[in-house]
Amino acid sequence: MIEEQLREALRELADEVPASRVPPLSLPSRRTAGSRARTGAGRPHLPSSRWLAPLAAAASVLVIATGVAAVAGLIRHAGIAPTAPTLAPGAVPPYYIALTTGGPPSPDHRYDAGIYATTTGTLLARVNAPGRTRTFVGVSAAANNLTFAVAAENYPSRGLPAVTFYLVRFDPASRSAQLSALSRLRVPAGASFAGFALSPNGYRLAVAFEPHRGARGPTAVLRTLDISTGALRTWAGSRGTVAAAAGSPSLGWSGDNATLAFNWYGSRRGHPGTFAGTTGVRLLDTRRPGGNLVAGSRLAVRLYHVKNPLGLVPGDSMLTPDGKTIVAAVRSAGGLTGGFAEFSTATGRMVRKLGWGPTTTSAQAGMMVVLWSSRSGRTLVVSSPPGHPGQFAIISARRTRLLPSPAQARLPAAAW
Amino acid sequence: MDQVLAATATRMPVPDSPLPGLGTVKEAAVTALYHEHALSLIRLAHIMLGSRAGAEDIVHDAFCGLYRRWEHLTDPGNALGYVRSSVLNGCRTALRRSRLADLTRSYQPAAASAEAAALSGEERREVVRALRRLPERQREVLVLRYYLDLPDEQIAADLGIRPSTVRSTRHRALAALERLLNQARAGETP
Repeated sequence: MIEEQLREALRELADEVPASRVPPLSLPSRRTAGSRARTGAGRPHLPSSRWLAPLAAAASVLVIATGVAAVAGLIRHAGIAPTAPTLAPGAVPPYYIALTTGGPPSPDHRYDAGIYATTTGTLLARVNAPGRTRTFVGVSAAANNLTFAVAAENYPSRGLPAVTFYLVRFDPASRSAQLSALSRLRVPAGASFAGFALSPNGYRLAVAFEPHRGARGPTAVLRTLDISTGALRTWAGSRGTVAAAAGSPSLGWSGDNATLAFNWYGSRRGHPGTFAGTTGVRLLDTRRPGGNLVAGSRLAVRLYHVKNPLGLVPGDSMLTPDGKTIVAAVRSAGGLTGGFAEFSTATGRMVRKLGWGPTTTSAQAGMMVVLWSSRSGRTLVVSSPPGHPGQFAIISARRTRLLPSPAQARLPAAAW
Repeated sequence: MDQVLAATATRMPVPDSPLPGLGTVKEAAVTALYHEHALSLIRLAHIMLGSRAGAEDIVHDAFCGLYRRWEHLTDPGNALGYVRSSVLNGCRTALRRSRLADLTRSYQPAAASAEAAALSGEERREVVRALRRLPERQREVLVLRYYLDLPDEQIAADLGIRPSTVRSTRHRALAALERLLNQARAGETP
């Protein structure tokens, strides 16, 4: 029954691409193999999504040019400081890291990383993926705004490749970044990488993945690395998964560098039709003993509860540094409006909505992400706020202000 | 098609001594493969990504990758499998980076389809939304099996896992999918 439903749904979905939709193949010349050679006539559709973001970003620069001055009040001066910046409360950090390409869209989907100035979108330092066959797949940031972490994997790869991690130290004075491998912690090949997060102090890295397993064994693993000592610690869950979607920032540290928030989807034994009551954003105190991911954590916000009073559908979520609030990208059940909402970790209830507006495309809804939060969640950096797909923005005091986006950082994989 | 490519490959010059005709031969082989399989692969990528333009890009890039690496293929007869793996890799990477795999993203059926069958469109939306909430390996196994109708052994080869793992993953994925659908139909917020 379920198989037939799935077949039908997939067939109908596939039929949305008509046969006439197949564009002509434009192979690279032997001399220029590796560069993109497909800009000729005969491509009968709208600009590729891979070009939309830079186009949108380029267009947005015009809009943003006058907005930067207003934004600057929120952002600490992005000048070249030799030491870690001291941020005023609510101030957006001056730098961020994002996945980027070195030039035209890369035919083989390899990504490097870049460190950018928040106020201008200027590339300050490039961080190249180590090795010719490696690509970065994710970024995270410490609170000092000079230390970042990146995840890397081999590309192309058959099956799910191992994911390894690196620390990135940015020196604003020289505009250079130093990459160092965190070889003690990796996601093994065959496991499904769920997410990672660098702690605010930059000394701990948390990684979540679904292990490659047989019929038995844990369904979710969360592992932390103490970068200064090399000590590893592992928690495992057996009936559920952490953030059941790739690319979701499923992990987040609070400002105490000890409490981890993660999205948990629990399954009920013998009740395949329902989520377990354990499902929601859970808080794990990593200072406490034990290795059970669920038993060792507490449910803070039940984002997926049936009695959600506003009928909101939550997406990515982030724990604010003070540990009191979960900020999530949300949209209405009909998908026509959306924005961001804050939930109390003490009561689990929604506190307020931010940046609310019409979301006209599914792609926009999918890219709506909270990228940074001030200590209490009063100021957010987000991607693709309603009405502005593909752009970064600051949301503060119920106002949404766009940030200039670098032309090469086409996808909103960024961390402040 | 695979047999044609294999036969073509046997006539190719050795890789280490490229002759003037090499580019023409491999271009013809890759182009032929594209003409035969591009549509199904774009549809596959569209299912995985939910983006037509993104799907076209990924498939096009996969064929460009095949073209560039043609001389290095250990088995040109499995060129289709190579491209399919590249497409899945591309989708996986794009999803990780672009967050198009947002847990809660609303699937918007094409307007024509929705007008033609509103009820089935809603049901389809539920199935697709549930599918996109599955872990990526489960999602890939289901799509390869129930869209492309690939046997477990081919799925295992494409994903680089064991056939037994394909079977266990498929069973877990179907159970999870059913659970999600039941929950959605019971009126809970998905």
